Amino acid sequence: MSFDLLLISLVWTLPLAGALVARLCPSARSARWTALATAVLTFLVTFVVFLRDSSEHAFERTNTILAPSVLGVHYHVAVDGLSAVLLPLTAGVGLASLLSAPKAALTAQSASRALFAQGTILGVLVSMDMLLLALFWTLSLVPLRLELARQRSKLALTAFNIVLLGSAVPMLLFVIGLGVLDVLQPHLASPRLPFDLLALDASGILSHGLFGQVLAGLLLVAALARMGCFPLHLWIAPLAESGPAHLALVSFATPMGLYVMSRALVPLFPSWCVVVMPYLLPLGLVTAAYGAILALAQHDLRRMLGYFWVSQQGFLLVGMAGLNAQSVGGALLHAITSVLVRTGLLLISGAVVARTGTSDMRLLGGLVGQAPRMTTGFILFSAAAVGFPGTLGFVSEDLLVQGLLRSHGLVVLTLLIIAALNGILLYRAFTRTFLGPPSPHQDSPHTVPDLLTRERWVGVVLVGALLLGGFVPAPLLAIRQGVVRSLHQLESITARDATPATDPPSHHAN
Amino acid sequence: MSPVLLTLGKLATLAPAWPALGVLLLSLLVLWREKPTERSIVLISQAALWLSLLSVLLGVGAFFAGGMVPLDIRLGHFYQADDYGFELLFLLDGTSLSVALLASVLLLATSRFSVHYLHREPGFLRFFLLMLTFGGGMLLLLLSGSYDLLFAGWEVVGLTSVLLVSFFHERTGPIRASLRVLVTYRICDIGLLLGAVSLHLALHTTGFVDIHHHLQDHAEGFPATAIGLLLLFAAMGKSALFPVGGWLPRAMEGPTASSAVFYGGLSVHAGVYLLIRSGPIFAHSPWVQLALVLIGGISALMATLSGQVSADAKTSLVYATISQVGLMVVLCGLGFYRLATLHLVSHALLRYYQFLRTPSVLQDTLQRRSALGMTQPDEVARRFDNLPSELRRFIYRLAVERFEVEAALDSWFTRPVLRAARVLSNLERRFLLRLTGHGTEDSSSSPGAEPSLVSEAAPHLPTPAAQAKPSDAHPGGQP
Repeated sequence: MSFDLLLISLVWTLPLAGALVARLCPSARSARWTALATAVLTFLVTFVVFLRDSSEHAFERTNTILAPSVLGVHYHVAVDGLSAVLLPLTAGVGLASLLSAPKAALTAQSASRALFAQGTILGVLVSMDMLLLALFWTLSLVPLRLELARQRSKLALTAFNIVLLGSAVPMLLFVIGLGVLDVLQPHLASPRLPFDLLALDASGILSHGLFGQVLAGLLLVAALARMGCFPLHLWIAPLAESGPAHLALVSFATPMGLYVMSRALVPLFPSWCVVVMPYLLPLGLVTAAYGAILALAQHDLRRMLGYFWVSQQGFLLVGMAGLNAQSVGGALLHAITSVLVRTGLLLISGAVVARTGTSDMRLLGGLVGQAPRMTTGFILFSAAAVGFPGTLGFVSEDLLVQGLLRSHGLVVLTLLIIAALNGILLYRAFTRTFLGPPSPHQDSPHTVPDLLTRERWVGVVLVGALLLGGFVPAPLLAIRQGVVRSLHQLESITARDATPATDPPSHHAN
Repeated sequence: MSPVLLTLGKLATLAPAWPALGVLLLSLLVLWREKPTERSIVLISQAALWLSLLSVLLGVGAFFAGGMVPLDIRLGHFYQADDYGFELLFLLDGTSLSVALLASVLLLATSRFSVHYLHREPGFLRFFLLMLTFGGGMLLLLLSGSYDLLFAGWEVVGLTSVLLVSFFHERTGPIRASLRVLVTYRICDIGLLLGAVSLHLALHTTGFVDIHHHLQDHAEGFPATAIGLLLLFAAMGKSALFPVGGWLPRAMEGPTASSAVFYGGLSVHAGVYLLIRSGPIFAHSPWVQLALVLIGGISALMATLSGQVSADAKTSLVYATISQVGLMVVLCGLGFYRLATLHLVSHALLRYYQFLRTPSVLQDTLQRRSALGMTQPDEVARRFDNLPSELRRFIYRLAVERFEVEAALDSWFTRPVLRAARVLSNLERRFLLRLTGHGTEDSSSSPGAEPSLVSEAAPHLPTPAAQAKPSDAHPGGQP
């Protein structure tokens, strides 16, 4: 077993093992410490993977395969530029959520579930076998489902079922479809690796035919539902409002939908993407606008942040659908920004709820007097979220806009208006929650201790990461390499297809 | 360009970096100690601002030593993605250096003034942090050699302005005012961003020097009108021009020192500076020039009339500022960019002083009256009285109601958007409730209430204790 294989395997096995140990712990305290130790170790391992990938492989793909395959399934894991960054980011989010979760909420069961969700998400990020990926993808939703069932939060549970049906079912159908394809056309795949991403990419069996199109559609729906794009966004706001904050953060902070699009959808179905992606541009715009407009109407801080998140997903989709190096690069960087910003904002909104017992902004106000650090954190994360210069958000929005302007001027104009709206709604939430006199509707004045030391350091690290990315963005831009290579493949397809000018668009899809 | 001049020029580009470094040091100090002393805050701030002034002076020296030839400093790419790169360009010429020198001096004066003015004020640290951030952004805006970099400074200036308006955050007035400022800034900034990316698309550069050279050689096909109008839109927001200037009188809610440096001295002139920088683009579009003259003229006229009916000194000064800024825009429209620069510098100096003296305006008036031995006749009021009474009443009503521009903008844009947001939100919530089998009751909205961006009533709310969920709440404040 190579060192890379061991290291990459540790990335997902460590949190899963930690989840098991935490579940078996006799007390909540020991479970919490076990979970924290596991999260720290996982973060360190992912960071080593990132460093190895950047220094030894220059963000090119590191493949490790454990042979032999059983029934066409083999253990194939890999790390490339995009996943190399997302791994420590996901591990960091896991650690941050455990550190900032209220002690009362972090029981042995919930700590174990958080680690399980983290392990399975990390599993998705390293999987190069679609069956393995789909398994991790589905399992990553289980802990939150169990937690919501325990809480008996009916609205959140219903909302969660939407994402479960929308993303897990199509993903499982996709994998079943791959199996069926292998049975129907055994001569096409050699050796018999029907689920391996590289083998599927090399064989090109998915890029033609109606069956391939159906499979591509399933993968796209799974990705869009996981992202929370309109109209599959319905789960985000209720979950943000009444779901367990730390577990929801671990389960959904990582941009899994975008990751699957860039890792699987674009490389496996390049021709299909050339035809379909332009239709996703308006969908992305609608998602971005819808999220921003609905966020304006919210009185609940967490629900408002949920809709803001929907709006950000629209930005990611638009960037991805732009299908050029800059816009896709911008979308990927924006995804990283979103993870950091969302973690920070949820950390602070969670802290507000833990201290005041409410996230209704009509009952808040004037928190700055008692909690200046919390207030500063909120405004800093909000500024980064809307692309304030000096933060990573500025670079990502700039690339997104530059990439889209060449062919989609109107889209850029709309995006900029929505970005302005996002800035307004975040500042409005900031003023309503933290500034002004305390709400006259409070029964008694809230006692709001400022961020605890552990919460403060999580915030400092997140802000530091946003600033570091904003001032030194060049290394992060290297993560685009794999995706840009796929895009060049698309460009050659577009150029080839564009030669017979009279061909109707539907021709390409077939 | 000789290596010595180039080195001096590069040192001058550090001017925005010193305040940024000051902010970093102060932030680290806050992380290290709960409350840094006023002395340490002032020491760091003044050191940063003195170093900034020194850097600008080096630039001025290099400019004169080089025979007053503009110094085009290129520091390479900030980042690159395929054929697009964000270049770090600085331009040190008469316009940028004169305004940057003014900005450095005013910032230094403000910091000195605020040491005593804000002594023992709870927001002492916050004020200095924001002022340094503003200083860094303003100097970046002024010394930048491209629209890309100018935009970065522009955004920093915008956010710090907003936060300084809400400086006295325990009152609702400043909070509402800051939101109004932010809304105007965010909407109008779209113009600058779109203008910059359009320049990338059209000319593959946003460098002022490159644009100038390019348009001198081949201007045909260049969308000067579209880009010019976008840039004008951006300037309208920052310089409080018609019809989006309603935020400026509200911005006076901040401390006097910040009002002076932001709205008397620097921030409000950033729009005019943008217009001066964009002169080569405007020169290729008579339509934009006409728009400049019209918007500048209307702003000046309306502000003059509104200023005449203002009851307090600060508001009166604000309208006087808008009217002068409007005249500067007219000068830009007529192509008198040097005159506009001169007007900008002299007006900023005068207005800065006037804003700082506003708290003592009554004392000043009494002193002047006793020195003169009489009350000065109001010339404008006398002429106004000569107008026919019908017209006089009409103008007076319009001026008092600020020409109803803001009310119109609210009813055409803000309220429809908020109303749509409420309707969509209710629809979605009802749909989800149906899915859960909970009927269509929606407890969180108040459909009858008039939507407003700045105030949200909570007419029928449950008590916080009733709302808190057992899983979320941790009474006693211990997380």
